[in-house]
Amino acid sequence: MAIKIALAGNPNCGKTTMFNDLTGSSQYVGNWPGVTVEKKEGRLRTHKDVVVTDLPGIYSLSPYTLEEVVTRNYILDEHPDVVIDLVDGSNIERNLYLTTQLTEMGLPVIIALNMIDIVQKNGDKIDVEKLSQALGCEVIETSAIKGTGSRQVAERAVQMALTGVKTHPGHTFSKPVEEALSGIESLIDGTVPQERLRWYSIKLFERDEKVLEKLELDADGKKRLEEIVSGLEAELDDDSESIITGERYQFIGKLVSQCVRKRQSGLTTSDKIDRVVTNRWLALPIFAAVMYIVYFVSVSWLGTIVTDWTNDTLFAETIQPAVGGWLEAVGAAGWLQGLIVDGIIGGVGAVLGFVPQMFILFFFLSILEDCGYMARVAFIMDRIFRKFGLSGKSFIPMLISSGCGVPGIMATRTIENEKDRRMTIMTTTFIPCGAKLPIIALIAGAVFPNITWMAPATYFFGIFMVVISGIILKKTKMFAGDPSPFVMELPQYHFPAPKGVLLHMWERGKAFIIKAGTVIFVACGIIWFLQSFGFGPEGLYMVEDENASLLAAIGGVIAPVFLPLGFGNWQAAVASVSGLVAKENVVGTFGVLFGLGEVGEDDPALLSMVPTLFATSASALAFMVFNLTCAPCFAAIGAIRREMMSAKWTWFAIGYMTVMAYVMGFIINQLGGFLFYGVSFGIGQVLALICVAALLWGLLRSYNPNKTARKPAVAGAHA
Amino acid sequence: MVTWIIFGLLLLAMFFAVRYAFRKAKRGECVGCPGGKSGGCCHCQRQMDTK
Repeated sequence: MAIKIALAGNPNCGKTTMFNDLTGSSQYVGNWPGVTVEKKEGRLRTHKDVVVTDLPGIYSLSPYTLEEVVTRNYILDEHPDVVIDLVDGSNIERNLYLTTQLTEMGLPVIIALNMIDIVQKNGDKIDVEKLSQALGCEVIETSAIKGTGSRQVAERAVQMALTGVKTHPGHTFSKPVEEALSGIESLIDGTVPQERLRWYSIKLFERDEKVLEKLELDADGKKRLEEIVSGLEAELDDDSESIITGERYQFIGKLVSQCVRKRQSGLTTSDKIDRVVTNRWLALPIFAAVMYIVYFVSVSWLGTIVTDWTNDTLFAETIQPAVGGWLEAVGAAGWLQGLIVDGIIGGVGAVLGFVPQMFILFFFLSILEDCGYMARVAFIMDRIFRKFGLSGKSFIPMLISSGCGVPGIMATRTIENEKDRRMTIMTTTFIPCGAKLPIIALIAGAVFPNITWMAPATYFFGIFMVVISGIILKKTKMFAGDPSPFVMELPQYHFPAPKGVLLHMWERGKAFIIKAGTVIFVACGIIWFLQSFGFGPEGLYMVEDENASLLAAIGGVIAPVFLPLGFGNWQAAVASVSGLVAKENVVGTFGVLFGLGEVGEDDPALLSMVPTLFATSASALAFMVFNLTCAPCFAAIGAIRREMMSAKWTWFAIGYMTVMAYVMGFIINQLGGFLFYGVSFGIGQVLALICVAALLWGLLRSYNPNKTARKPAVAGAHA
Repeated sequence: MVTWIIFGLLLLAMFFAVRYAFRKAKRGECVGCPGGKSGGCCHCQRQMDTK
């Protein structure tokens, strides 16, 4: 039977980094809490019969959020053979709280004293021997990011699993608490495994509801338990949970004073950087400047240079003529040549043309994440979001969503407040993900070639949509309430590890390429078929004029819906709907429709074709805004369904996003056309002004949640 | 004949692409997710199948 090793520890202490090192995996690593929301398993590189499980980070075994429950249930129910407890050496006091709980569980525990490189860099010293003796388990110094000590910990863990030696906690509570615990132990003796007796008694003393439910004590047992707990609470004048917490911290405080020697010094380098980067007035302009540079370099400048080569040289001069020539040489029929060259290569090539821009964007985002800056952004945004009823916790899923909406939606599990969680799920995909980058690059390049801030503006427009949604939704009965508290530890700044950055960039980019080779490939084939064939009196036939095609017929039915947004033609309508499959498909569809094998955002043919679809530049902007903020792709919709756990809420979320996108597109097209492109004032502008007024009403109206909440109480009083 | 052979191969490739995407969707994974091969997905964080 395989040996099971669990990696447990506080959020952001390096578990996933160590997991990747031990198993050779390439799991996503981030330096903010909530990156790991599901347990992940892999086999130890050196022992294939050893399964290592990376658990979501927890601060204690009294979980509050969904992902914390995953960790506690795993440790309790799955019986790992050894627990490797990762303790962040640079923040040892807080991390040891969980350690004191883990050592009580009757499992073999080994401590990986991680981030020892930072401890040493700070000039601090930790007496590992003394720490080990006091905690009752072995302590090994590690630096997961540098790969030092991880293997040693794993080898020791395997040995411990083979010998089966259990860890006994090195700490005890005060005499009255120990007496109370003994009393509870006698109550449940025989009903729980002997090695877990102490842990269960402590949890019962703390009145842990889940443990109470699980043990199903009879009425006498419950009465006796309540007597013991209440008696001590009265004696110590505190609630039971606080008594245990206080005594744990007393033990930890004493231990840290004995084992840790901190170098007395002023501000660290990270502190000095933070004084500027998180400054009340400078934080936002710096964030705006950073994101402007990232999007400008990846979409407008360097990305375009590399993408030009991909389109012009790789696709236009190499692949397309080679495939076309070969098909002709082997005598393939004209329709097949059209399907492959115009349909498949045109569509998939249009999407793949953006791969260089994608890689450059992901490269910069990975650097920003890895060096510790993005964790600061969550902190900065918390300050702003809080004013609008949201918290920085909601911004973490949005940070993740800049890569892909699916993990972003999953990351909402860290939000314990159900209302806030639902609202974050509904708004997180407003942030442009990697798949939306081709749409941004195409419209920005084709319609606004001289406006360098257009691409970065889409990112900030996403944040703007989140903020206004937050304000509007928080003023409804469904979402009213105080925002969740947001506590996060800011990691120290460090130079990004090249391997991690490149791996992160590659994993995200690879998914984009695979999607182009599968979903987009099939979608382009279907689009080409529908665009090339029509129904006539003699049945299905290949059309000369694509306006007579099946696609034109289908698009013609949908197009009127988008007429108020300025793109009421069947081509743009079909592209928008095809984006539901995958957002890249919007560009892929244009590639097929225009029959261009060598399209890309800077290809002259596409650049001249795309603007013709829109009445004005405001209509093109409305098209981009609608496609960036409407219902996400099917994969993200699936993730919303899983996380909402309700079809009703899923439909509500999709409906909300689509309505907001439509309204925004409508306002931009109608008012933008009138103000900047000479469109005359009419009913459209009047309706757009009504929409603006409705949005302002939603934003500015006063709302008192207590007014609604009080009603039932009054009714109850009358009853 | 050549046309139908190439077309057949293309349809086969499309079939496998659809099957791949469908299986991924069924497991709640992103398209492009490495699945169990390298210990789970960096992307959608699915658990590796250890059976």
